[in-house]
Amino acid sequence: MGETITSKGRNTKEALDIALSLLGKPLTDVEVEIIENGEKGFLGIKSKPAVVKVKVKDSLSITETAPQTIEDLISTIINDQHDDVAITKRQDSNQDDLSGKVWVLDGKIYCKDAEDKFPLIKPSKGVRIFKNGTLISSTEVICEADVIEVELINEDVLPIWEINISEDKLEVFLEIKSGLSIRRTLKNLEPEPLIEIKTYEVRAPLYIDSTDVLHKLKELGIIHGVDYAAINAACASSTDGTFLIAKGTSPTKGKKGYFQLYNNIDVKKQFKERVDGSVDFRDFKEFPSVNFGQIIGEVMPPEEGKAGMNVMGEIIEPMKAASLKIKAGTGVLLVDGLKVVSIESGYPEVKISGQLAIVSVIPKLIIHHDVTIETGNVSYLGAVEIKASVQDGMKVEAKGNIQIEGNVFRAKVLSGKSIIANKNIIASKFTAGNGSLIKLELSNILMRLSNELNNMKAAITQLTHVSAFKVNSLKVTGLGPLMKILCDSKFKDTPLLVNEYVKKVREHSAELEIEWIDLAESLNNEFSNLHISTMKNEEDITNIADQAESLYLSVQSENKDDAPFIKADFVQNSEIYSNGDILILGQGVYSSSLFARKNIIIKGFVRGGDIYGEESVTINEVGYRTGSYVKIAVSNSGFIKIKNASENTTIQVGGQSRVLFNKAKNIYARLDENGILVVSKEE
Amino acid sequence: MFNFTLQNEAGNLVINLQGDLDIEATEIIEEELMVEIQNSTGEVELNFQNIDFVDSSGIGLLISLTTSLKETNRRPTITNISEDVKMVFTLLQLDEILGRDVVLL
Repeated sequence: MGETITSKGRNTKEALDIALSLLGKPLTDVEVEIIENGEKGFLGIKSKPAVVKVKVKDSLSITETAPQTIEDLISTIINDQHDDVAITKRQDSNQDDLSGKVWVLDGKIYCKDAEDKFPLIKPSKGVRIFKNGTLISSTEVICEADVIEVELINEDVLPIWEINISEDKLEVFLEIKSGLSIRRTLKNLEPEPLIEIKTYEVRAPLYIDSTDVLHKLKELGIIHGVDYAAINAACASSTDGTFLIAKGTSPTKGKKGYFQLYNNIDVKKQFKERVDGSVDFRDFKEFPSVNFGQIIGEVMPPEEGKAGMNVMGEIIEPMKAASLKIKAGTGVLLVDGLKVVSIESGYPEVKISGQLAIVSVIPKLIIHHDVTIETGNVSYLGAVEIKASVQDGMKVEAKGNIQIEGNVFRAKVLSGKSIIANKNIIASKFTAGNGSLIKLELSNILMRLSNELNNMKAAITQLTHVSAFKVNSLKVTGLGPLMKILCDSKFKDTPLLVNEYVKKVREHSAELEIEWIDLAESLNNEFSNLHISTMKNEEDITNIADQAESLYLSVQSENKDDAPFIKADFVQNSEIYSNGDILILGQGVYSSSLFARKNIIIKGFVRGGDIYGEESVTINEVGYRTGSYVKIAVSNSGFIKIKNASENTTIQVGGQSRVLFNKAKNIYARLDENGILVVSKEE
Repeated sequence: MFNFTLQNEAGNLVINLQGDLDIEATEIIEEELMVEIQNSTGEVELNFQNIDFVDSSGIGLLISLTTSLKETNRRPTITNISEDVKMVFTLLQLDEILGRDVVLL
């Protein structure tokens, strides 16, 4: 056991210093017990001495964490002894600094009076401060005697939600404006003569109770397709938003009726460009053909879709899938109203506009011998197939496709559709799809005319509902007199359109199919002299309008996937015009002029001449010989691709052209977005 | 049945039409009324007060009648058209065919 002494001093420090000097030990070697803290009196009067008891430690019990200074030691001991010492200590140790100051500690406001000044506090947002029961709104003086109460303002913004059902009752949305709670606490502030009270804000989202949402759904009768996970996720969202919380089952669409070709019928396919830009020529088919008695195809009935269910649990019937109407064109018979059977041999043709299919077989004339002066020119309504050659000065003309197995020498070949020439074309003139141009013009007229006629029909229907108008007379006189009046007033365009159509059809009858000519005839009969028109009622007008419509629709659908083309092997000193594509799949083109409304593809070479493809030109090789001139051109929106080109090749896109000065490879020319000609190439 | 009466007012001719202006009126208009008009002078007013029904042939007759009156400078007018008949006139845009000075809609 070590030695123990008790000592006194004016304060604890002095008492401890005395004890240590008596013992001759450093602070680390002793244990200290404070018996009296001592009190300061005013000018030494009424002061009490401090008393400490100091004991020398056993050498073993010395710890490293022992306090190093007397002040530290004392404060450690004091903290152990009292609960509210922190303030006391401050008061003790910094007593002089605190007077006239105010501070905030652990949610309370403290102050110390001073003789010469008053502490000031300034309230702020989020907290209400009462001085002696009165709310203070601006900077205020306080003193120790004041009762200061602090009221922290907490805010709660409750979440708002709403359930919306889509019009088709297939979707339910939960729309949320999120909630928020703000909790505030006072910020500790160091003593100052003036302090502005500050607060900490803790913001936390306020969530929606998902059971409330479920109750509401039940109340609204929503029972099908409820997504509970989505509801929970939506309720737990801390941001505003709209959440899909229930989804009904849509009825499936079903499949429209369609025309199924029989396997052995090949309908013309267009060539396809591969991703790398090259062309797969094997896909390119010959003209299809059928013999009489052969089934071309069959109308497939529509397939019903499956019923759906809305969120209320009500059944939704599937939409009726439209069935395909079939109309027998020329050269075919309808069996059972479904199967189309050919009664001639020729080219099958399927025209589909909307849900109407017209199937025809275009008759085919097959010529086994050369076309010469002895056999005469060929002119045929349908398609023509020539198994031999077309000789000097002859002309072959057909409304349908033309196929020539032999050579064509100094001849003219004109087709309303497409031409295939499997050998050489020399010093000849080819035109394909010339029927299409006039049909395009006519279909524009018909589009306007059928619109006029439908409006006229509507006007007549309206008139027959007026009580002062005697409808019965129409049964006696027919529609003629009434239409005459209408054509003189509201529908002045109708007779003009009729005349224009009739006139154009008569001019071009050689290039047009019978439907176009028939319509022109009936329009002429019914409209040119309305007094003798045989039209009896509105239905007759509808009939004519429908005929006009099916014709112009057939042109529109034809333009999409049945464009005319010319396919040839070798062309020399010739002029080739196609309203669609031109494909030269053999050796190539010598000193010829090619013009296509769509694409030109030349698998071989081009030596001399003019090549124009409105949409694109793709050539394997462009060669140059002294004295020959090659120009490759496309429209503004087109592009040119040439694998190998010699110097002096002219490339033109829209109005801009460029001449290649050197040989080049993999040329790709087009206009960029600014309309500037860009030619990429390897030299 | 269609018929008409004539009335002379300050040197001008007022024709009071009566009945249905329809296909059956053709004969009366073309054979009787036209003769009466040719035998008279001055401006012509067609009073429609008692016309309740029309049909397309009747309107056709009216158009040719007014056209010939205009050609002979008789300054035809059509007056007192009933609301229902006016509707027919409007739908057919007769004011455009006959002239806005002839028929006031």
